[in-house]
Amino acid sequence: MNAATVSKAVLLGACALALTACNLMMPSPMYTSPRQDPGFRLLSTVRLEVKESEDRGAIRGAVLDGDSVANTYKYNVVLNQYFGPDLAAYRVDELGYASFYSLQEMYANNLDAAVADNIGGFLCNDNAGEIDRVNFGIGTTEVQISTMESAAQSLLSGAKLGGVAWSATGAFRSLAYANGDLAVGSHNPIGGAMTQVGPGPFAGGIPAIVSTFQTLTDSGGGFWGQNYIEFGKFGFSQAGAFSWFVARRVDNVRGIKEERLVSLPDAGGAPITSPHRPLGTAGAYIIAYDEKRAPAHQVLVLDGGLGTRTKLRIVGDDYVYLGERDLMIDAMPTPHALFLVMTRHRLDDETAELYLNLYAYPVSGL
Amino acid sequence: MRGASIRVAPAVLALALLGSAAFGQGRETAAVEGMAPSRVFFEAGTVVPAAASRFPAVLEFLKLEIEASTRLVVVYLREDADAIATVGVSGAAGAWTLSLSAARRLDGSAGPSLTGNATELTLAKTEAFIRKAARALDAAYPPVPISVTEVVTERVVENKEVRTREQGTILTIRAPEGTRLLLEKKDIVLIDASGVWSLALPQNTAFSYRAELAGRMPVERTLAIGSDDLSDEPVLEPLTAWEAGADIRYANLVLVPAGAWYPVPGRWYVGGAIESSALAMVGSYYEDDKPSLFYLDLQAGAGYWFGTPDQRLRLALEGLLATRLDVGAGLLRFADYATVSAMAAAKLSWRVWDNLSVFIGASSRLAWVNAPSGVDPANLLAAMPLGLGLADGLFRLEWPTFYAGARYGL
Repeated sequence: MNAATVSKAVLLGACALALTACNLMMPSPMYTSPRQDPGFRLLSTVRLEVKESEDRGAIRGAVLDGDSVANTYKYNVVLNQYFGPDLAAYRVDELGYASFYSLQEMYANNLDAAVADNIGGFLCNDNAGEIDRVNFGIGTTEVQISTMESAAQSLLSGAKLGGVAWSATGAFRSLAYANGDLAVGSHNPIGGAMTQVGPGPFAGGIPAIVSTFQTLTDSGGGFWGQNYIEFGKFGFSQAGAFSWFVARRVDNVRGIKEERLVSLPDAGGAPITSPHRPLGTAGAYIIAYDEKRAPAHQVLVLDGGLGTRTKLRIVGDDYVYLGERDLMIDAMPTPHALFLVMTRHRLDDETAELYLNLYAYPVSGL
Repeated sequence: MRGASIRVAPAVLALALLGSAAFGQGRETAAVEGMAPSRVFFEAGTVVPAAASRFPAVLEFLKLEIEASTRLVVVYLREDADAIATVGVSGAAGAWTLSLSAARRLDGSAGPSLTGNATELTLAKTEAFIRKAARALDAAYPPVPISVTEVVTERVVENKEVRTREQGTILTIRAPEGTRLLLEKKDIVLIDASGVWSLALPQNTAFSYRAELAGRMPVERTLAIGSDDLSDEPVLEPLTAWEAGADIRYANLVLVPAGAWYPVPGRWYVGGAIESSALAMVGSYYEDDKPSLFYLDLQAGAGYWFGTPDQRLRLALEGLLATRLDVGAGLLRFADYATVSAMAAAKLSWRVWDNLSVFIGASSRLAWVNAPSGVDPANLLAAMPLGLGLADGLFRLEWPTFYAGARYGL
């Protein structure tokens, strides 16, 4: 091998090295943890690699996890990935470590209205009109829903339970409805005696709400009936002295769904409605949105009158509002609204990686 | 006596003229031989009256001898002479004494002095004296090497001028001040404020030169030189000060609009480019995963072209500063990756025709990684560009990327 051959080989090798080491593809602004606006604090990040042979890897729902420590910010996230008949779920701890488990689909479908339990796991509707306590790694047990149903009937004769919610302070509220009337009761603890919130039921509340629907309307003889609404997510704010819930009508034939956000002031009066879509409660406010539009999602902060107090911007491919928890700031427990923000990066035909980032925003800043 | 003189004078004059024509050597001839003869002026000294009638003839015979057998030249104006020879006659009939004394005209220094006897003032009787005097003068005033004299110089210059006009021609080149003319044998001429430069060239030849002027397209000229003077004025077309075009970068074929302005056309430029993943013709993503967030990279910098504008292939080096923005629906802000970055690039350009050139290039970037609090800068992006993390990830030196592009002069 003479010098010319060696020099050619070296040159060829250098070219090959240059090509393999060069940046052939354009940079991609897919952040693992997107920068959020000032005020947001990144608490944890977890990377999940998912197979996408059938379903696209995405967040089906998420809910904060209860624990013996009330102010943990562990959370449960359910992906749109089937694991047998169940769905893939992860419980993510404060350090960002994810533990896998599977979750029955009925719970996964109702995570929108699920709330953290104060024991461990979360409370979720089971499609059978009951609320179950879902414990990670333990299984599911029914909450004493019958007691709550009975308690609801104490507020309104023949009432049914429209929703139940649990606050960070451990107080429960439930929504009862019967014959077009609404009533909010409080319980502490769950299953205990129910106390009427406010001066009395919202008599004729449901017809008043129905009248605000814009598309799926009727005059009493229609498909839904004059006083018919479906009850969606329910929440309340003790600090704001109001309860709220989602009133929904669905036309499965036409594939149309219309929702109204309803605020029920503790002080009584007519229900207040709005087209905004609630995500949860933070302090004295409702966290809501109108539409999800990546990469900059606009989050609305509504007061009890459903007026827009301020707007936040969440940057990411998707996000979920988890609820309110205290963070230790300067050794002081400080209420924060927790958002789970997802970014997504496709690796190949069947694999994607999801980055789940838990951000906290001080409630005092809302 | 007077009557004899009058009779002899025409004969002497005739002899003198004849002698000059037959024997006289022109000063030009001597000059051609490289030596100049000394010049002698003869004057009558003391001549006794009895010899007056015959003396002019003797003097003329002496002059003839001088012209014929010496290297001296007889002149007839005193101020032209180098030496003054004084000839006299004394004595009486039958015993004449001839005398000659010489001196330099300019300084009066004495030359040879001699006498001779003759019984008669005839050629035969005075021949010995005449020859003796001629030899003495010849020895005393030999020819001198030609030095710088007014006459000689004028003739030499005149001869040179004549030869130039007869054998060559003048090439005159007219060009703007500051134009560099690159001649054969690597000679360089700079055109001054007159805008004119001339050169004498042989006839029936060819002459090539190259004209360069900053900001103008260089011109190479080859001229046929005939027998007449020639004037040439190269047309130095101004180079464009503005150019626009686009790059195609990465394997994604990102279309990057770019432009430049040349403070020194053809050499220095400042420019900018706008690079965005939104302009990628080949997405590095799956169709059902079309990103909602794009980057917008604003780049500005300066570059320098090596070589000359008329070269087909040229190399440029450029340095750029860039800032990057995140762009998406409802979002326009500085990016966390490469918020500010410095770039170095090299481009090899090929001029397709006048104002159009295409090039390939390579660039590398030193990017500032402005990671949010709590985020590892090394993992800021799901797919970090290949490179080397520096200063705990605060900066990232990207490995090069290659690209191609085209520019058109406006």
